[in-house]
Amino acid sequence: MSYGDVIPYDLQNCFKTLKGGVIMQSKILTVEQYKDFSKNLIKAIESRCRIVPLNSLKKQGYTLNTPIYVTIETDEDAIIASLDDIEAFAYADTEFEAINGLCEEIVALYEDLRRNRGNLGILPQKWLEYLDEVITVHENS
Amino acid sequence: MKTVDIERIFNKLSLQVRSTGHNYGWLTVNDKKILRVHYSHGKGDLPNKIMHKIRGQLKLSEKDFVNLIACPLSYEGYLDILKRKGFI
Repeated sequence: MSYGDVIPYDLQNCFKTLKGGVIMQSKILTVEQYKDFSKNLIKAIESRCRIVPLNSLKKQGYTLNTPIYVTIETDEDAIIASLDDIEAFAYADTEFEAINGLCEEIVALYEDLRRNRGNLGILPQKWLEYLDEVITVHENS
Repeated sequence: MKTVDIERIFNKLSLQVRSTGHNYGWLTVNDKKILRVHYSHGKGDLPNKIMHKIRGQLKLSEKDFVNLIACPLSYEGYLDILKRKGFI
């Protein structure tokens, strides 16, 4: 008797016959099951946490030199947008509002840091260096 | 956790919120801005992930965070933690 007689057809790739006719499971999932599993896993992760590029701070006089990548997460009814490089985040009922809130937060923080250049601790100094690199301020606008 | 817990932290650590238009307060030590902490307006519960992020901004372990809210961790004790972690 071969394992083809006792194991369903779609699972046969998961088994192999060892010496002496012993049948052993060599894979946990079939290729199809693996594909389904991966697809569902990616979908589940994406629905909880996504990274999206931000091309503008939506504030006159502030230009992003390069897109910055923000994280979008959900927690019950709240949508949270964060920029982990500067430990900034905002949350709201919708993704649009959360991103707008984060943009305001970034601009407010940058202004605060620029005003206090001489009085910054280790972390805020690093945030300022990062923001100086990615933001151009047009003073006359 | 609730927004009143965050208010308690702000009072305990004398975090400075510059105006109502700002959603955060600064921990200032010897005139230097050390950390920035999200300030939550309103009442009620905060989403878990927000609390987690605020804890991250304060650079505290789960246990120390609870102790900060519940009182055993003092302002001086908190500064000691920040010094040990190299933030001051």
